[in-house]
Amino acid sequence: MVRFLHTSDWQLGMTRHFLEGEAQARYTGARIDAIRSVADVARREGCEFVVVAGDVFESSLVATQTVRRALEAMGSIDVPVYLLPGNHDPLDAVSVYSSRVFAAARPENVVVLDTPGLHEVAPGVELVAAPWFSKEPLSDLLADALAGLGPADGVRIAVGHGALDVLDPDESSVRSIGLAGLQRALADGVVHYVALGDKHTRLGVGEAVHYSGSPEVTSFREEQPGDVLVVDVSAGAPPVLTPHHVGTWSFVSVQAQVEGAADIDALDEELGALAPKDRTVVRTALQGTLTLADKARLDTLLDAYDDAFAARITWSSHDDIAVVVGDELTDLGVGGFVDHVVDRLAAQAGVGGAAGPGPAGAGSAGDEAGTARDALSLLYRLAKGPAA
Amino acid sequence: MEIRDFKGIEHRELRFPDRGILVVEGPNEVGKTSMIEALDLLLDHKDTSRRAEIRAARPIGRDVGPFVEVEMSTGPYRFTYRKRWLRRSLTELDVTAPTREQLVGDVAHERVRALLAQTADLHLWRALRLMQASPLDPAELSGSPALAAALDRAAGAANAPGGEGDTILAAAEEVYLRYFTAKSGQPTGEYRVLGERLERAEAAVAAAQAGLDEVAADVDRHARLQAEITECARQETAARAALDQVEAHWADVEDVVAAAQRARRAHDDARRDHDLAIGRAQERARAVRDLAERELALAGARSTLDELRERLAPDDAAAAGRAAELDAAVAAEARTRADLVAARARAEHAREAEELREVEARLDRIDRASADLHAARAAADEAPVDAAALRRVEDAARDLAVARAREDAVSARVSVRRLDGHPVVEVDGSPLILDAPWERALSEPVTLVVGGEVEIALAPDEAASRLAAGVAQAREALDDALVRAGVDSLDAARAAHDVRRDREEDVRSARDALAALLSGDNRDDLAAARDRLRERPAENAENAESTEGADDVESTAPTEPPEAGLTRAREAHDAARDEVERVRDAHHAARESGHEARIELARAESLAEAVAAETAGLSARLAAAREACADADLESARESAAARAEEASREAGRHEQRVREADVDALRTQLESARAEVPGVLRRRRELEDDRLRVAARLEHAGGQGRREAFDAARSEHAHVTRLFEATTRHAQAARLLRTLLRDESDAARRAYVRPFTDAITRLGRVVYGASFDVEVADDLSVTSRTVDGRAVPFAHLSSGAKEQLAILTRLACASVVDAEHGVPVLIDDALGYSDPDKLRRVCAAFGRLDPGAQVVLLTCTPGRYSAIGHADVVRL
Repeated sequence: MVRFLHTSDWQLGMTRHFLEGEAQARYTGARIDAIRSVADVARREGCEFVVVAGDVFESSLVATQTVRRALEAMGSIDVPVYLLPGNHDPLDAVSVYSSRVFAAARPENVVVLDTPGLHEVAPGVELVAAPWFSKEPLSDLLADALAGLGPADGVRIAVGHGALDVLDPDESSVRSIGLAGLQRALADGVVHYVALGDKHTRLGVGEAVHYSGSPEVTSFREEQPGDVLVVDVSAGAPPVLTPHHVGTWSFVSVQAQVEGAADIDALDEELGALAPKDRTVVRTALQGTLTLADKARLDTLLDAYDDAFAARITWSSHDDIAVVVGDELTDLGVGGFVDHVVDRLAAQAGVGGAAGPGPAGAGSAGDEAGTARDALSLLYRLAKGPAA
Repeated sequence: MEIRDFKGIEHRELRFPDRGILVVEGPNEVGKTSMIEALDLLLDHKDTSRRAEIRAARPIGRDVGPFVEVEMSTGPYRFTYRKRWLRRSLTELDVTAPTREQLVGDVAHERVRALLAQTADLHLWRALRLMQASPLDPAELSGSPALAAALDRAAGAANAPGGEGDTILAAAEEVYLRYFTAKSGQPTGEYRVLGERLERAEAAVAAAQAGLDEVAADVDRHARLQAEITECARQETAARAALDQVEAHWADVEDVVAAAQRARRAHDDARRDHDLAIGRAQERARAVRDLAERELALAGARSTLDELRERLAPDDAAAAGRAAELDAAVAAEARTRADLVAARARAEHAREAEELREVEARLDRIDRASADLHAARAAADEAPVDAAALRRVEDAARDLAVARAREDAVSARVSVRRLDGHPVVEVDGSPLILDAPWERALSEPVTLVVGGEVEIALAPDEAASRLAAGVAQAREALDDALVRAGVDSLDAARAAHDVRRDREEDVRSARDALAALLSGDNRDDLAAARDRLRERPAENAENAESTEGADDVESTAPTEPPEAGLTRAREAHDAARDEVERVRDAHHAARESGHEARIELARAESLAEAVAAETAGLSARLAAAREACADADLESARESAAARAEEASREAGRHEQRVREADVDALRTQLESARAEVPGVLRRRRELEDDRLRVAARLEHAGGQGRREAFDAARSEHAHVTRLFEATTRHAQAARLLRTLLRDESDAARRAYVRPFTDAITRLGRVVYGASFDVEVADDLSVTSRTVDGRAVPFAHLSSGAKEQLAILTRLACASVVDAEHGVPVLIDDALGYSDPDKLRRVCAAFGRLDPGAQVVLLTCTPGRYSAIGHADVVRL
């Protein structure tokens, strides 16, 4: 039996466009911290080595600072670390792994799986690596690496990167990893565990084929990000997996129907409950029809959360707040010609005295109705005075 | 209204009708304006106030407090309000409607203030009065709520400008200006900055993208180069194999080629030998032919030589004769030349003798003339009275005459005559002769003795004495001049001078004669020339002698004149010279012809000798050659060489055929290309390797630059700025739309709002100015211009009368627009002073058009000014 730590898709050097200023810096820092967390887990769980199944770096063209910091953090891992070049950091002419910085800063325990096929990592323990040599390989690299191998003498672990054919939406893709072949290899005892990278969310396909997912969230779509796997592999027995959560950031989508003050209260509560806010990115998709007053309140509310969260963004394609112009403006007692303006804006914004539904947030510069709605809101705010 | 002790008014009570027009007439200082002041003080100031205007209201010289009481209606209220200031101050308010109420003191004051604020338009109250002293500005009506409300109602809809709408418009304007410039509506401030930042962000993304693309392209290129290098290696192997094969084949072919070359060389040798043999045979034949030719030529030369020798013999004799002739001619010429020289000497001698004679004759004449001149000069010197001496004598004589004349003119004259028979008279001791009276000027003392009895001493006066001395002096001078001239009188001097002048004339003529003889020459020069000539004849004579002595022939004519002799001698010499020339030419020609013949002979001799030598040489060489190789041997050698050459040619032809069959050229081409291919492939591979290294170096450089992160950062910035920009754009567009609409509607509302007020002014104005009257009213309800008969005049440019009329009309219009309920009285203090009677009448007519509910008070000091107003009440103070 051998115990090791399976992780992948560190994507070091990645930036998120919705993170601004210091938030981006903290996020970058968190990705380096994840490596130290891996070190902690490996130490605590007594792992013999660490396998990173591809995409250690976001790109071959990362800054030297990123490379040095990453390697420095990897040096804090007590056991060997095996890095598999993936589709983001392939072993091409400009590969990070062949750069001088990498060569100079690489700690002893860090090994790049730079040749396809067998790598003995400990007596009786072998890795079958399928590194990427370009961004667009023309075959199933893992299948190529496994081809011609007979049953293992000791324990053998396949390390690959890419989408399994069963998961790949592109059926014609030549480089999808064939699940059937893996299962055959597992059944024949050629390998005992397949450590995969590429998906940023943890996912197991059968007993012995697993994606570890990214140790720190990278996208709103990920279901189970932030984990690493501690795997016990032995010949002749199914592997035993223990996920450990190391991620500290979360990306949250909040979808809500907002029809009035009560719904705004509920939204406030929901957002307020998210923590820690400085490491949470919220994407809101709100739908409903609000009065000018409620819309103003919602805007104020969201403005406040914009500051509190690491980032708060509007999920434009799912966001749709309509504004109703009721008696609010006339209630303010402005009267006179302003009423005419209200009528004209309302007509421009939609029908009659109320603005019809429409994607309020998506009011582009050329969108007349949207502009009219914005103008109504502005008028409301001005009419109500600076307190509004 | 009741007033006590207010300025000049001791007590006055005045009742204003509730509505309609009241005309208050009164003389100046009766206190019309004071009534209005009193009303203002009552409403504005507490009874405790001691303000300047209140103290000014106290009657002069009386210690009483001014008192004002007014009963008035405002809104639903009717009340009586009275106040006294300064002395026994009091404030009392009795409200009678709608509910009774009584208040005093400050409470009452505050209550009235509140009632008025609630029900009356105090702004309008101030605006609707036209006071005596105030400038004729348009009424300040825009702040009046009552007018505004009235105009609102008149405009129909609830679209009044001002108030909160204007506040919002101002706020919207402010928001708009946050995004756009006021003038051109261009983005400004943060909006503009964002726009620029977005552009920069776009450019940065594009640049970062380009950086990435560059790397991607290089990665592709690197892979492609790698593939090509592999291909090159394969090509190199193939090329080497092909080369080896061709090289082997080439080695075989080279042997064939070498054999062919050898055969060709052998053929060349044989042909050369053959040519040599042919040459030798031909040479021998030529030598035989040449020898025969030379022998023939030698015979010809020898016969020519003999012929020439025979021809040359007589020529030599003729040449000798010519030489003797020439010698004789030369001798004759020498003789005639000597004759010529002698003749020349003789001629020269004759010419010089003649010259000597002439010079001697001339010198003789000169010497004679010179002696004449000396004689004349001596004669002249003997006559001493020259022109100067004569002038001195004449001058002295004249001076004496003048002195005498002067003495006679000045001196007293003494005339003494001895009378017959009377004693002797002595004058200065000399007795006077009878009948010869003694008379003279008294220039010196004279003593007369008459008869011895009487002595009369006459003395000249001093002047006469001086003159007498002058006469004496002049006489002395004359005597001196005469002595110097060697004569004794003036006449003698003159005669002597005549002699002298004649003799000087002789001297002059003698000098002229001498000068004529010399004619510019110097006598000494002439004498020297004569001496020179005198010495010459000796030489010439000698020459002539010797010449004559040496030549007997010429001496036969000694009497011949030298010139003729010279001419003859020259002619003889010329003839002799010509003879020499002629004989010399002949001699020359003879010698010349002999010379050419001799040259010809010499040439023929040497030719003959050369031909003989040549012939001998040729003969000897031919003999030697024949000794070495007989003629027959030469021919046989030629034949055998021809045969060998033929054989070699056939052999070479056979080898050429074999080479042609081997197709050497094609094989050589193959070999060359096979040899070239390998270096070509290597070169290409080297180039590819270099390329790959360059790309790798570029990639290594670019790889460390973090371009991906830079790109991501640029994209993040771009996304961020795009979000900000779009949000700001939305806000900006909203602000612009709102501002545009608000301005539109505000302007429209204002136009609708101003209309009823304008209508009211126009209605009243047409009464005054006729149907063409029109006014333009600004949004603040001020009249900006008046139009009459199509001529628009800005308010400020109107005459005082017109301004005043418009001011009144504006107020009346206002009063007619505002209903009685909210209306305030119109107060016009002493107006229309600037208006002509016609305008006055018309304005009065306009008053008549007023709403009967309006309250108008007209104060005037001119009785009857408003008499044209039909239904006005009139109060006279």
